[in-house]
Amino acid sequence: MSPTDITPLLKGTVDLLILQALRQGPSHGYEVSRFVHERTDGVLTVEEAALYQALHRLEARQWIEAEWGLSDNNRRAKYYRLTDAGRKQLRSGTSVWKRYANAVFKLLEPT
Amino acid sequence: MRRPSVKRLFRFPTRSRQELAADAREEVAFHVDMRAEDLRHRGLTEAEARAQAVREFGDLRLAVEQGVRHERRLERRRLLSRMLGDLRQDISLGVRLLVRSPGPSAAAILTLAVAIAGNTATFSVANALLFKPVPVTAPQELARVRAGQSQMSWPSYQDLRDRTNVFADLVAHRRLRVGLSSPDSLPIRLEGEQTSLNYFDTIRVPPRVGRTYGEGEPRRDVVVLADHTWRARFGADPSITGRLLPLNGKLVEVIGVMPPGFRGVAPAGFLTDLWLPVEDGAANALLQDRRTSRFEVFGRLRPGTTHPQAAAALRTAGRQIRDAHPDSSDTFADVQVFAVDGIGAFRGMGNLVLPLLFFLGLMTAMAGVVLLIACANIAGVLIGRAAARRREIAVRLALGAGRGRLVRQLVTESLLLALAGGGLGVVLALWLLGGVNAAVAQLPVPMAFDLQLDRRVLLYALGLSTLAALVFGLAPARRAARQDVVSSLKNGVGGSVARQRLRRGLVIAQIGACSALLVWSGLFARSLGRINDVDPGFDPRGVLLARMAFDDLAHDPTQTARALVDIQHRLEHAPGVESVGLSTVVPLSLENEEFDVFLDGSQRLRVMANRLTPGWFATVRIPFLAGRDFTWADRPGAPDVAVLNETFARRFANGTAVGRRLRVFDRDVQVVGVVRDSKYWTLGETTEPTIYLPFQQHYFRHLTFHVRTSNRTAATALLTADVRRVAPDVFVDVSPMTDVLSVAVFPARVGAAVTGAFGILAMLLAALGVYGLVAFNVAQRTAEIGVRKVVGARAIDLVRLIVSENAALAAVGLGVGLGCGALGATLLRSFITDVSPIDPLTLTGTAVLVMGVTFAASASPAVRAVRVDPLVVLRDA
Repeated sequence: MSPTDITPLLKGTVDLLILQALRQGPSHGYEVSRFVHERTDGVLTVEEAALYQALHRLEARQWIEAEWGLSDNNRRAKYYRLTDAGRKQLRSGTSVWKRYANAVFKLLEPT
Repeated sequence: MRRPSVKRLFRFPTRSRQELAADAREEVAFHVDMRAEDLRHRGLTEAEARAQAVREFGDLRLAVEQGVRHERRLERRRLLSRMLGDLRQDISLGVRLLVRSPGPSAAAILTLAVAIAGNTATFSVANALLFKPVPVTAPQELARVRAGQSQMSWPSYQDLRDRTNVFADLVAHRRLRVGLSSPDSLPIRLEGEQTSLNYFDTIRVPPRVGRTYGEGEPRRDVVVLADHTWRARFGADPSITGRLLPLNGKLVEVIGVMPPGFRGVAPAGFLTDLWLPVEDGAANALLQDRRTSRFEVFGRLRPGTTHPQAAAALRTAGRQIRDAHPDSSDTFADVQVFAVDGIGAFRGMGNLVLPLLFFLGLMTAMAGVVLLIACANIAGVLIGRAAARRREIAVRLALGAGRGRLVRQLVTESLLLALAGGGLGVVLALWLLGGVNAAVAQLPVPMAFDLQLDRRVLLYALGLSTLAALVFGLAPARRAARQDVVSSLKNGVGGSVARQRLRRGLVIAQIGACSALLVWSGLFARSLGRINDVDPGFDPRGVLLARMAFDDLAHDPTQTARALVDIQHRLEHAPGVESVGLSTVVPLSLENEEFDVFLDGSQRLRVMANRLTPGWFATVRIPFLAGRDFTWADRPGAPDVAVLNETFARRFANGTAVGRRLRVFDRDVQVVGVVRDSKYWTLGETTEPTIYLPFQQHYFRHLTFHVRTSNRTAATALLTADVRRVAPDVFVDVSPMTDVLSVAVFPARVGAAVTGAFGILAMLLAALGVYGLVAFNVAQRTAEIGVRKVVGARAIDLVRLIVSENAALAAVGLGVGLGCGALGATLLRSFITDVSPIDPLTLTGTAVLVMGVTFAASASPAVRAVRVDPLVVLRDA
């Protein structure tokens, strides 16, 4: 399967991926997209438009907070950080997703 | 953890729109740059890397736009939550501060409560009279019709109803006093309304019990009761329908009860006890007579019809009717159509309502002044408190609290005070209104007001409280926020000149306002004192009144008049009776009649009137100045005669009135006598020209026997027995004539009570204000006083220093107040009897009282100043 084919499946999970990416600490948008790409060995890619929309959505829900800071190369960048509510959401989202994935596996794997 | 309140103080101010856009753009640009850099590291050229990064990102502009939109939404939400947070913080701080100084807070709240109660109660009365809608369906569609005079004859009404189509329907009705007979006692007087059959169909209010009558009702011996009648007379008997009542000597069947508060289209305050359908036209002469105008007319306008349109249509119809019946007394000369609601409902009742409205206005003004004084007081307290909090406020300013934010904090505190005061005020007002209704119920006129609180009254109280908070809170708050941080931090207290000036201004205003109120209440009190000495021009002592009303439809006027003359003759010979007379109007009892009289052919004069039997003048001891009293020979058929009062005689004929002729009711009347002036409508009135006509020649169905007797019981027994024999259905209402005087004194008494209460209240509040100012001054000048003491000031010098300043302020306020009070009092002329607006006693009394209270209020702070220990003061300084 090529990475582009998998993208539509991502829709419901982008939020979860972002929250997971921010678990390491405050990151800017580009770091989040790199994180997702690298941690999935390039299988998953979040499109930029979708990424920022998701960031906004999460911020509006107060799962993440934004703050301006300095990047490694000393440029002003907007950093997103998990809130307590976001951490909680990440936990419950992860467990829900795992159950879902397990169920799909069970169905698809020949016994 | 940092405390949120501290964090909030250091929060960056809100970002502007441009800043938001720049931030959104920067975020996107950063992403693209980072990607381009990564790509370059992988070996792409600068230009290629950039192009690919941009391509990968997609629509840059869209992303920026979405970013901006998102940020804006967040910003708005943040602002809102910050404001709510601030508000919560302000309120909790405000409550803490109020609780921390319970004495002054309670004083401020109580002060405000009393002032707002006065205002709210006044407004409730105005609301009941003018603003509450008439309790019928769609009252705005209903309109009263008046064709020159207030009443119309039945045939004219029917013609009008047939000839116009601007109204969905026209209704005729008339007030009718009826006697409800009871087997063991005298008939009970009830205020009825006799209506055309379509009355309830037009008014569209369903009964609460049973049914009403309507068009096509076959019976005329039915009655609909008012809720209060049903409760008071029949114990709210649920099976009342079908019961037969002996009304005016006839048995009528109760068919229904109207809901509480229903009064038809009568103006607020008027009570109707029951409604009866008008008799069958063919059976009653009155209903065929075009010269007897007894009915009032109103109708429900067709949707979309305006009052002027309706009036125009009625005018056309009226002209046709007049042309067809030139003998009719309905001229349709001046057709008017007006609302049944609001002030218009009182049209034609000027002499009753104008004083009432004026009095309401006066009360509103006084209540407003008291509220202003209360506000000034609280403002003074707040300024003092702000001075004490100077350091706190300076610290907060220094830490970066916005001045706007501080003002909001202080105004929130004021609002808390105001709302607490307002809430308590409404409760107090309810209690006051109970008193008003009780007072109204004691009046001899059947009246009741719907004084229940409604949304309008509550809104009024709320608005007033808020307004008060702004009045007393804004100036101190702005002043506090504008203070100079450095100097405030350096020297903890220390009076600013401007603040002193503001407080002084407040005290002058307070003293001025309270002096004005005291002048008014003084004038009312003096007038009440005078009114008991006013000579009404007749002597009510020892006179018994017996009021009764005959129904024209049930009792033939000629026969009734004859029977009444017989009764008077029998009374004259009863034991203990000195003299007897009968009149249609009892002076000073709020009854009146006014006639148009034509002098010398054409000159028209509107005069007060009364219709009498021989002996009335003697009975009430009004002496004759010229000519003679009426005699039994002045009867129908004999030449028409009249007696004038002194004022009329002077205006009409310079003292030679006897023998002259004038025209009344299209009849030539000869003047046979002149009597001395007496009071007719109020004790305070300047006497109007009055004409007296013989009752025998001018019958009227409402009348009162006046009996001067030493044996009340005998006279009462004979009278009631005789009247019952002649007309078993007519009630006889017996009371001593001295009661009339107490009714006449009633307005003065209410005026004196109300203005007196407001005046005393104002005085107390102003005294508190003066005390506050002086105490504050002494506290501020402690150091100065200490120094003065050290350099040898005596106690008397210090007292003079403290007191003289206030005396000066009080004197200025007093001067202003006396002036305004006297000016305002000229408007009160109709209420104050026999007292000049610049009554020296009142003015001096007010001056003495105000100055005395000012000195008294300064006394304890002055003593404190004298007791200042210079050593302590100088050490602390």
